[in-house]
Amino acid sequence: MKIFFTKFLAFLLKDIKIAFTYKFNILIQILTILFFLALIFFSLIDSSDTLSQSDVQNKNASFFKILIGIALIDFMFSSMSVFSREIRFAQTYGTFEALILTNTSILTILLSSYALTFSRSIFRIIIYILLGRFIFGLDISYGDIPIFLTLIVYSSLPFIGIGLFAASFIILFKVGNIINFFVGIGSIFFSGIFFSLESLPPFFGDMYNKLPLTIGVNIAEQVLLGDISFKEIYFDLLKILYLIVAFVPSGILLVYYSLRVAKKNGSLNHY
Amino acid sequence: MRLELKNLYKDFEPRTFLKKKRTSILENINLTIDDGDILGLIGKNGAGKTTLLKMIVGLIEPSDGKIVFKNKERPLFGYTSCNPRSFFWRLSSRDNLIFYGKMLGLNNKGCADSIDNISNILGITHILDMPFMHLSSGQMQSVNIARAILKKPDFLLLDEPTTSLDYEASIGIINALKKYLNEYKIPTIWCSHDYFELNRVCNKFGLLKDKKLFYKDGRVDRFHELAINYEFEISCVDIEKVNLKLRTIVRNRDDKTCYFSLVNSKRDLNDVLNLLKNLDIKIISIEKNFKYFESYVS
Repeated sequence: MKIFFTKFLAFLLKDIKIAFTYKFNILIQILTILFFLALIFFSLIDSSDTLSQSDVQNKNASFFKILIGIALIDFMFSSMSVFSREIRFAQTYGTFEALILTNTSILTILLSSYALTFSRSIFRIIIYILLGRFIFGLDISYGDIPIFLTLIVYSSLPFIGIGLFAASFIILFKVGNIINFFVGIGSIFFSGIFFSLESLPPFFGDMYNKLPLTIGVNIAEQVLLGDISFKEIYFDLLKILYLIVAFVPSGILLVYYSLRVAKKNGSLNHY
Repeated sequence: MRLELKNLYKDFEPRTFLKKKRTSILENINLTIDDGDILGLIGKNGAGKTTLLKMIVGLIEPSDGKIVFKNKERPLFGYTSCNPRSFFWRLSSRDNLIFYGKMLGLNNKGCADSIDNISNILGITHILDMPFMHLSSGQMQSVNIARAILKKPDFLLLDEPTTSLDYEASIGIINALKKYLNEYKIPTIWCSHDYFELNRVCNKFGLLKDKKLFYKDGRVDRFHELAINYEFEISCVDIEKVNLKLRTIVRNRDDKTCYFSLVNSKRDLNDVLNLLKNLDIKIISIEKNFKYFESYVS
C-alpha cells in the first residue's frame, strides 16, 4: 500500500508540474467554475423582489440539486474518461511501455493516472460549495462538506469500474470509445437533473432508479437538504455497493485481459 | 543472472475488416546470455530485432517457446527504444528521471544519488535541468539511456542506443556504457546497424536474418582485417591494373570512378592497400560491406 501511495503521489506531482507549465491553465479552470455557478444562480433567480420563505427554500433546493448534479457529473466523467484518456495518451507518446517496464502494475499505473483529475475534481467541488455559500448564500454547514464529498466519491466508484472497461477498450481498439459514449449520455439523460423523471414514458420503468448517478444525486440531496437518518438511505447505498462489486472487479479483469491480447498482437504502443 | 530463449516463435495476425493474415516474424530462436555477456544483435530493418527485445522484456508475448530467467522470476529490465516521446516533454530531464525513479521504487535520496551518478557517467549533468523539449535528439537519447540504468537492471536491452548521436557523443556513450557494463556485469543485448560499434563492446554476436537468429561467441576483430569485407572506390582507368592482380566484382559509379570488391579472397586489408599503393592506384574511398558481415557471423 505504501508503494502504491508513493507512486500515486509521484504521478500527482508530475501532473501538477506539467499543468503549471501551461500559463493560463489554472486561471481558465477557476473562471469556468465561476461562470457555471453564476449561470445556475441567475437562471434560478426570481424577478420579483419579494420572495416568500418557501420560495427561498425552493430556490436553495434547486440550486443545491444542480450543484450536486454538476459535482457528480464531473466525478462520473472524470472517473469514466480519465483511464481511457491516459491510456490513449500513454500509448500515443510511448510512456505506457516505459511505465510497464518499471515493473509497476497496470492497475497502479491506471489508478495513479487518476491522481490529478481526482484531486482537481475534489478541489473544484469545494470551490463550488464555498462560493455557493459565501457568494450565492447556499445554506450548507461545514460539517456537511466531508459527508457530501464522501457520498460523491462513493457514488462515482461504479464509474471507475466502467472507466476500466473503457480503458480496456482503448488498449485494444485505440479510438471510438462506445462504452463512455453510451454510459455517459444514458446516465445524464436518466439522472433527473435536467427534467423530472416522472415525465418519462412508463416504458422506461424504474430503470433510471438503478443508475449510480441518479442514486447518488438522491442520496446527497436527501442527506444534505433533509433531516434524514442513515437508515433511510441505507438501501440506496447498498444499490451503489452492488454496482461497485459488479463493475470494479470485472473492470480490473478486463484490463488484464486486454493487456494480454495487446501483448499477443504486439499492439501495446499502437495508436 | 541468466537469460535463456528456448524455441521462440512469433507470428502476428494483423486483422483487416474481413480476414486475418498470419505473418511469421521470428522462428525457432534459441539464445543464452549470462552475467558479463554483451550480445551484439545486428539485422536489417524489419528483421525482428525490436520484436525480439520486446518479447524478452514482456511487452510482446511469444507465439510459442519459452523465455527463462534464472535466479529471478520477475527481473528488472533496462530498455532503451529509439522513441524519445516516452518522456514528458514539458518537464526537465531531472523531473523525468525522478518520476521514473519513483516508479522503479527508489526513495528520494536513492533517486537523487542515482541521477547524479548516472548523469556523471553519461556526461549529461549540464542538461538535467533543461526542459526535455529543449534538448537535441542526441541529448534526448542520452537521457533515455540514463533512464534505462537509473536503477541497476538485471538485464539491459539497448535498441540502437547511439541513434541520433554525433560521432563524438556516440563514442562517449559507448565508452561510458562499456565501463558501466564491465563494472556491473549486467547481461546485455545491444542492437545496432553498426557492427564497428558492436565490436567495441560486445563479446557475442547475433544476426537476425530470414526470421532466424545466428550467433557466435567471441569478438569479430578478424572481420576488420579481411579485405573481402570492404568496397574500394578508384578511378575507372585503374581497374584493369587491379584485375590483373585480383579477382574482383566491379560496378561503375559514373564515367570516371567505379567500385570494386574482392571475390573469394582471404587477403588482409593491409596487403591489398599495399598492393594498390605499389600499383600506383589512388583510392578515393573505402566502405565496409555488410553482406559479408552477415555471412561471416552466420
